[in-house]
Amino acid sequence: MKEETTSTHTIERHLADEAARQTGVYNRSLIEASLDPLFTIAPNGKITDVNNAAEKVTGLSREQLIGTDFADYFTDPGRARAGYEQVFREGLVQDYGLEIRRCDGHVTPVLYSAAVYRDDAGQVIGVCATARDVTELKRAVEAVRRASAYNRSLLEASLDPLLTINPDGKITDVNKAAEKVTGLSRQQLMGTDFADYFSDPGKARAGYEQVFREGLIKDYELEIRHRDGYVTPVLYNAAVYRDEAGEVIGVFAAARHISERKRAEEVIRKLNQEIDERVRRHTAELEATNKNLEAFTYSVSHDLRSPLRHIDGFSKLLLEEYSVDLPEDARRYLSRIRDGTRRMGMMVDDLLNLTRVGRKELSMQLTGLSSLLEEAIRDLKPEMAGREIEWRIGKLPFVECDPALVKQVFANLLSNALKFTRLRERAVIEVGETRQDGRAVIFVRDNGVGFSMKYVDKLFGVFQRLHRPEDFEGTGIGLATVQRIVHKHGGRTWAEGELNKGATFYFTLEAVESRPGESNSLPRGAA
Amino acid sequence: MISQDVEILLVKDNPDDVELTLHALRQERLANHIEVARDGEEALDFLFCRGPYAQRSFDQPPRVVLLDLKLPKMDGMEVLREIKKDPRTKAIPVVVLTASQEESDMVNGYHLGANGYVQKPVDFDNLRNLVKQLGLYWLVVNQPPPAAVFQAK
Repeated sequence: MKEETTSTHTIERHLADEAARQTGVYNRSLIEASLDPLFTIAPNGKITDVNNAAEKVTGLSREQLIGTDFADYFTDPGRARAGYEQVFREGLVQDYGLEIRRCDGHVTPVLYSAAVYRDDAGQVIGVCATARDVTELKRAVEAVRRASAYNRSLLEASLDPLLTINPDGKITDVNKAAEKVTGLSRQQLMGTDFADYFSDPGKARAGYEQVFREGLIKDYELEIRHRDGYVTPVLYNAAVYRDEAGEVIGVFAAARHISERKRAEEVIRKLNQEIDERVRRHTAELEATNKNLEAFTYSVSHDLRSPLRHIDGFSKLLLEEYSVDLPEDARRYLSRIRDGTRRMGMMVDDLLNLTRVGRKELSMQLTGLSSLLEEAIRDLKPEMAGREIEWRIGKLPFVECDPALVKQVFANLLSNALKFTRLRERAVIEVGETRQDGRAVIFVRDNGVGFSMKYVDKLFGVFQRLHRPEDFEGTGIGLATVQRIVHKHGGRTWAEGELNKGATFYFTLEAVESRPGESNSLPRGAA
Repeated sequence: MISQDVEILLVKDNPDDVELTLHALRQERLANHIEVARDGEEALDFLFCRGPYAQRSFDQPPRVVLLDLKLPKMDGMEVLREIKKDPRTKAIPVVVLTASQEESDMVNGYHLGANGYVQKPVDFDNLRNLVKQLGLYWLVVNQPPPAAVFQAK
């Protein structure tokens, strides 16, 4: 019986032990299952239990740890103790940051959560503390901090004012440049309506809405208003940015200062204006000088005519009425006087004509050059009397020109052609059109005495002559007049010739792209 | 000096011009009575019968006025304007005889009512020929305005 009792007792105890053991195993397995270092600490601060994770994080065995002061395993024992005391005082602490030092010196940052535990009587018998290893978290936080510092430095490195705006249009971030351009601090700007900082808030808002609608805008012109009132013209580039779910969380906007560009443009514009103004002034001066010169030439020519008329008139009367009383030489001298007078009269008339051409306003109309040529030839009939002339007239175009003046061009060129073929038994005069760079070029060619290309530059000059007056009469103004008329039409004149073979005169009536030093020079490809 | 039958009033300041023109006219025996005014004022005094010409009468105008444009005091255009704006003188034929080849002078002359516009050539033979034709036309060919024209109004 006793045996039995003992046995029963033993069994009971065994069972109780077993239950306790099982509970202990269970508890231990719970403790060990935790990957976080876990300590239980007695009210006196001595470690009463640890788990594997705690052994690992301290580098010491359970046996070594139990019974030692828990605060010794932290880099800041005082803080560890303070936390511990706080637990006793308040029942628990959460996320209390500490650093566990391993025996080899390695430090693990942890967040402690701890609570007191009590016996059945409610008496505090210890603290159960679990430490969360926050190495990774810390690393992550650090990474985030660095990334954000990097981002910020990127933001700040920009000389362009940058801002981020949330969907409500409120500013969520700015950089230094934005502070500078608005004259307001980051704190003042944050959370305010971004549109308020532009001279045209409506346009700013419209741009912002466009970003939301289209995802981005480029080179959107706005003016940022500084709090002191002055404005900075900028070009905005902005895009939405999204969270991980792809939801738009704001707008990132970068403003490019265009003050510099605008200033440069302004400088260029002003320079251009100045140049224009100068050109205009010089042109006006030149025109005035030209007008004065023309007026002077005109009045000189005009006033010269009267005395010429008188010299001619009286010498004529002398010859007529007193011829019988005059010796032969006197009569010869008188007729030389009259010849001279007549020549001078022609020169004066031609000069007058030249200045008139210069002063005349063109009256442009679409004109068939063939009919102008016919008229010019008809007017020259007296000069053709008794001569054998072969005319080779090609097809001529219709052009926009002043017909009276262009007829004069033909008249002068044909008159020259007739004059300089005078010694030919059979004069051949050719008039036609040729094309050069797609433009009409009219030419008048003759088989006359021609000229040496050495003197080609002199041909169109006023009073320039290449022949002796006793060979070929002339005032040296005809070709100058031709050139004046052609230039007035925006055209060019040039000539080719060969001594004793003939000459060809060319002219265009439309502007031909100018080449330097070409006004009196050779045609393209001329020998 | 005031003739009842002045046929030509020659308005010209240059004595050489005057002499050569008169010579040409006389040589051709076209005009017996030529009055010469040496400036615009004198020309108007003659035509408006005032000053030294006060005893002249409006109903005996010259058959033609040969008017130079470049004149001292009052130029030819002003003279022309005065003649043509007054009903007592506006029927008198006025021919502008000038060295000017200015188109604007021609335009103005005709606008003001000139009856002709002739450019003087340098060559004396041409001038003589021209004066002869002018005389022939205005004194022989052309019918002068009837006297009634100058009595009206």
